[in-house]
Amino acid sequence: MNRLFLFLGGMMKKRVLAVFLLCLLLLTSCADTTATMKEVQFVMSTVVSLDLRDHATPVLMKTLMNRLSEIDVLMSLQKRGSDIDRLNQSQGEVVTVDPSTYHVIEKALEYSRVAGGTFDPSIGHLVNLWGIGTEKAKLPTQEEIEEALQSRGLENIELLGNNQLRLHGETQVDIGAIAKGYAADEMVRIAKEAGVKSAIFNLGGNVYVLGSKGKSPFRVGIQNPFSDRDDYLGIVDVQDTSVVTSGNYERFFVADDGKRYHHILDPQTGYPAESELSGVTVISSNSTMADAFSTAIFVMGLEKGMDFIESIEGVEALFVTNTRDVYMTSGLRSSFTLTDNTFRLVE
Amino acid sequence: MSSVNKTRRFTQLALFVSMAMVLSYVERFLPILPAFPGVKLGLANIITLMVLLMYSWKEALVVLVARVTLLSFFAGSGVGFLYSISGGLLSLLGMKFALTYLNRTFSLMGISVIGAFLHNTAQMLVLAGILRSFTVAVYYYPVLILAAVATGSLTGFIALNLYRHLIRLGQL
Amino acid sequence: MNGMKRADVVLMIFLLLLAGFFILRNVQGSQETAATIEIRQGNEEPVYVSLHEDQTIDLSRGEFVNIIRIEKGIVFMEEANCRDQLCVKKGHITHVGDSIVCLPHRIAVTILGEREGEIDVLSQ
Repeated sequence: MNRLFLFLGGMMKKRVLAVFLLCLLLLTSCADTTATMKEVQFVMSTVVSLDLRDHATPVLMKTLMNRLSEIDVLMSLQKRGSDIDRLNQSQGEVVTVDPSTYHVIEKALEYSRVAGGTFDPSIGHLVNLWGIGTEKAKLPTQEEIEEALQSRGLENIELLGNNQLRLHGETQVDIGAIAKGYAADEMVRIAKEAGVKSAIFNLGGNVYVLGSKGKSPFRVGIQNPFSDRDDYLGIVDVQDTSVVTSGNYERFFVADDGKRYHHILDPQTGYPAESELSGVTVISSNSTMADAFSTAIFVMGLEKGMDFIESIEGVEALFVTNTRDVYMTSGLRSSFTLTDNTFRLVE
Repeated sequence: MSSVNKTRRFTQLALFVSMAMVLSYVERFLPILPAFPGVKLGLANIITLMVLLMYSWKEALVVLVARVTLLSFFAGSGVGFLYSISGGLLSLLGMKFALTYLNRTFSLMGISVIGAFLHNTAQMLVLAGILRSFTVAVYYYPVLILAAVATGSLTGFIALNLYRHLIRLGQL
Repeated sequence: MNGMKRADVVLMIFLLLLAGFFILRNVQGSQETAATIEIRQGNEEPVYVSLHEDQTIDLSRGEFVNIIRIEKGIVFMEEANCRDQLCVKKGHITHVGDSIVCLPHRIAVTILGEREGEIDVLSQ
């Protein structure tokens, strides 16, 4: 008799425990779907802000931040031992890199061809020579620039498959211009897998907005290229897309000759791109592409850049000229609002 | 209509126009809220309402337009004319509608409040148009609504008593 | 047609509530932090000026004189030669949504909130 009671008691306890656990599970899963979290860190040599607006967990946040550090360690031009560093030191040997590095180089080559070489991953020499954005930035001599230009060439980057590649000649690889875009795409991929429906990823001004803000789209400000503070000239209302802005105001140094040299190098001349543009913004659901093309159209200039973007499905762009004129591709008109009327919208 | 009646009607309307003009003019010197230039007693509304009751909307329209136009010739600004005419027309339209379809629902006071409210709403819209900014205009709107309730009740009350008095005198 | 009817009272209450609604909206707006002023003049595009910088803004055009002064976050019409002088009499304004209007000269000065609140993120 006693045993029976004990047995029943045990059953009851197990049941109670099961119900209790179930409740806990339901509660936590309910709490999870609405949990928000925002973290700001200095990664990839820039300020990164990850703003998860639902399904946020500390584990997910950690995963995202770790992925950023990982990408930085793999793809940095300057960091010793990175995939890019090993590749650039390989002297013609076959190098096995991480699948993600391989993927980004592959994409870089593809976008470079599409953009007619205005964006070029084979100008590692040139980028190192100028060193803009690092403390050793300096104005190179004409000879140095010509020598660095000699070494460039997409055909010198040979993809062998299986995450292996080989560099020919003196070519040095630099994918710094699209690594942040790739990182943004990775943030979106990981967050989506974790069930996140709405988030804002800001990688030093390379923005990706995942989902929307309830029923309304996100409002992304476009940097005023003439302001040295956080100031926007207009707003785009967008969702599920990347908004990448490049400009001559981002990173630059003033050389001994008193001139300002910015970080967007023209692969043809070897000098910072000179055009009527001060800033460009590319909007696309593929941030890697947006990053590459924002560099490309800045080098192309207004007219060619406009034609180029209009020829690509699903990509929009905004151009800000030195004379404060704002141009944009046809698909952007309905979502862009000019808020600073010291700029002029050109239809 | 005999010519005697015609003349009688014409003189009566002329009398109404002059009375309305005097009321409009006098109330300029009785600002009830100095901070809000748009807020007036709207005493001329009594006349509009009376003409509407005694004749029809056509006569009321004539009296209204005559009053506003003439007054703006004598003493007025372009902006003031725009305010008065838009407010007057919208309020006349509303009061005519209310008298025709909601006569049993509202008393003259209610109808006068409707008129005042529409008058001030039109003013708000004109202000928004002049300033090309809805925000500023809407900011003043609550004051205009409150004023409409107060002045509309007042003019409605006066009109109501006047109307009764005229009936008693056998004028209607 | 007797005295007041029930519908009259209902109408008045409705209008009072409507006014209350707009007043509430104004009060809510005024709790934001004032940051900029919007100056509208005639049909021109509005001009935005920071409230954080003490300055005198001369809006005079031809015969029309209008001088706005910003001082420690307070805005007022320092001088105007309009007939009614209502803009000068309006005195100091400080809250978001407050405005000084000079109707004869078609000028409206409105205090606005922090512009940063307008966007979710900045692409730079």
